[in-house]
Amino acid sequence: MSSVEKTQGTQAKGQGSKFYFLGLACMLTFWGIFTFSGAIAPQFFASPWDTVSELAALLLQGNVLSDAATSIARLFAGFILAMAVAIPVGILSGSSRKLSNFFEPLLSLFRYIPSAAIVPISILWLGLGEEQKYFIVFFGTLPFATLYISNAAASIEKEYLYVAYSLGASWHDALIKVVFPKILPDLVEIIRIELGAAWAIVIMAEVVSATSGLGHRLILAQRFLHTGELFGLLLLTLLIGLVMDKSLRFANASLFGWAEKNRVI
Amino acid sequence: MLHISKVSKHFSSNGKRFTALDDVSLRCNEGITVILGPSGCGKSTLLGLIAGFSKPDEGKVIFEGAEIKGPSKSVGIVFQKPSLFPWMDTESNISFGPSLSGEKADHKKLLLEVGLSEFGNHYPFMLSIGMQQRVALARALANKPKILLMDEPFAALDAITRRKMASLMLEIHKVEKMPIILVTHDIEEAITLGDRIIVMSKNPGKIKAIFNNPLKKLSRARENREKFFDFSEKLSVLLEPEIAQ
Repeated sequence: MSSVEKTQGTQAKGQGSKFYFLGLACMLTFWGIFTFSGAIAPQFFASPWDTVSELAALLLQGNVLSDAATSIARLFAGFILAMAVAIPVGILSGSSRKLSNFFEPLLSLFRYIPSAAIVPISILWLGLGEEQKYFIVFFGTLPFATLYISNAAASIEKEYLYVAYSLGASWHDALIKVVFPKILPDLVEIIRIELGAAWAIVIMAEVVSATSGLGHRLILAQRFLHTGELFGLLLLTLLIGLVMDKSLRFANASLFGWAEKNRVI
Repeated sequence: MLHISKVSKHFSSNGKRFTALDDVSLRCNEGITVILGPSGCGKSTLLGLIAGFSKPDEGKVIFEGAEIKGPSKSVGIVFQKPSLFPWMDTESNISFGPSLSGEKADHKKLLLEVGLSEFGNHYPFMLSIGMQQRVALARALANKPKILLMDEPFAALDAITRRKMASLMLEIHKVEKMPIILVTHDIEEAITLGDRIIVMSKNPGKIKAIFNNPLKKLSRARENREKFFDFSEKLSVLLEPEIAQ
């Protein structure tokens, strides 16, 4: 990269973060004006200050942390199960036209069933226990993740596979030693996107049917018209999602620098 | 050594059948065989059949007495794009083939041979395209193939790097002594590198003419400009109607 390109890149990056913070500042300003002016009753819309102070109070009480831990545990249990199926099925489906023809129609169909619509049947099958939450996260994540992984595996340039085969690789070797490492950066990116979706699903599942977790706390706050607490919990939900997202972005950039360089070339 | 016997290959696209190769027969023994032809004449398809990436619809490809039924370690290949594994450094790329059968590649010798001794720990994105292509060549040689296929390996390189790569290929051919089949659409490249030149025509892909290169025996083909130009003209006349199609 030339020094001019580097400078242009740095400038663009700098301007990008400027606009990011500008957008955030605008939103906070409008939110503040909207709530402090009394244009809307605090029972319906908490101010930024109330939101932050309620969240601080919740964190100091400590109960909310155990609810957050419960939600995160549900998220990871369902998500890991979904990935344990999605990764091998996606790679196999992306590497073989026959398997793709077998799996793709099934997965494409299930994509059109919203996670919320699966709640009643999940309660019928699994009751209100933890397994039901895992199932909803699993069901809501699996079809999308598998299709994305399948697309990533299918988009590998055929020359990589031809080279591997001509060097003596078997089909199994090609999958494990070529396809898997080649799609790893895409895989982490897919996990990042799908984890965000799964986080939304687990909170939804808890809002509908749970006696613990952040979703359950949200519904309690709404019932008792604790709007400040409601906003504080929403902020916490957002922050947890943001931390997961940024961590995976960081992991992808630091572990797979070669992929980023390749994209640039 | 390599016998291509009455090979035809067809493809279907939108319900239409297209003949990429029609009744192609060819024998390759020692030396460098150049397959010369315009885009779409089936030269890469022919190379794919020799490499075992696909099977002929009619005819046979026989290598060392056995029919080729799939890719094998005895047939090495270098593509136009280096296609190095981007997550591996140079040494690991070169060692990939031997490591599959639990062997160790002599990557130091190979890196020396391709002039990249100091780049063993570099990742592909740290190398120029010319250097990447040299690593791809070393990777193909690491498996000690009995024949080397090269599919327009210099097409993406600039003129100087292309010339360097060509002389590297000739040096390697001298040392390793394996037959090489090189696909190109560049007449000058064909004359300076090929012991034998196979000219192909398109629609359908067929062999139009076979020449034993009269200039290859001269130590420097370009020194005998008149003969070089005459032969180049002869090949151009053969290719012109194909390019016009």
